[in-house]
Amino acid sequence: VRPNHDRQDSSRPTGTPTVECRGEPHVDHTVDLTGLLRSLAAEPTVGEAMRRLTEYTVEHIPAADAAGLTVPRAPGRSPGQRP
Amino acid sequence: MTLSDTVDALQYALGGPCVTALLEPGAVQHADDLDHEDRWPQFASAVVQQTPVRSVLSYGLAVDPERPIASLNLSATRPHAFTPDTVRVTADLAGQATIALAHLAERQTRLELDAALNTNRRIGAALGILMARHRLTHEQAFLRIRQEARTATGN
Repeated sequence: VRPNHDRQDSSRPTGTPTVECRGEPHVDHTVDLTGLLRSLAAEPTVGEAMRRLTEYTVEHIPAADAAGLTVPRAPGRSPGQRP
Repeated sequence: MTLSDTVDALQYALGGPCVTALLEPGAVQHADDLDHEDRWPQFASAVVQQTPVRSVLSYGLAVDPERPIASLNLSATRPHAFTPDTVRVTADLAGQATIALAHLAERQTRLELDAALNTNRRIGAALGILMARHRLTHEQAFLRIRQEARTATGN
């Protein structure tokens, strides 16, 4: 599973509980973590949840143009071991 | 191939903050300007040459550091794109995501074990019927079932 998500549209989605922080480091930027948990828990498989996580990250972290997940290639291998 | 796919492929081949985050799940790996990055020089050079990405932020997602689930990687086309505030907020997000993914993985494993157990019970019942009806040994009955299964699936 290598779920990755690139920002397709730089405009912010409406209704998300975030505060724009790009260029304004003094502004507190929050993410709806309960919403994240619910969103991931609603997915039927770990793979789907991973894909949703990358989408959620790009939607809620304005500075990120893309998000992805790197997974250990095979069970039992050392984490991060080269393929 | 998405931007993240490209960055992912490069770091698998050359190492990079995403792989380091898998190896050291407790720490945030932040390459804030790939044009001037000393920790992962090969990765930084390749990313700068092949993509517009200039900042990478990676978090290891792991309940058990020996068995990391994944690393969450954020990319930006600007250098210094991720402020300390963004780093902190993303760490919170990564922590919650770790809990959710670990829970889902356990649920998925449980469901798979349940399914395997049910299948095993049915095979056990079928073995018993064959052994009684045709006076077969356990091994003979098992071979008969395996043969039937192969015939049915064409293998």
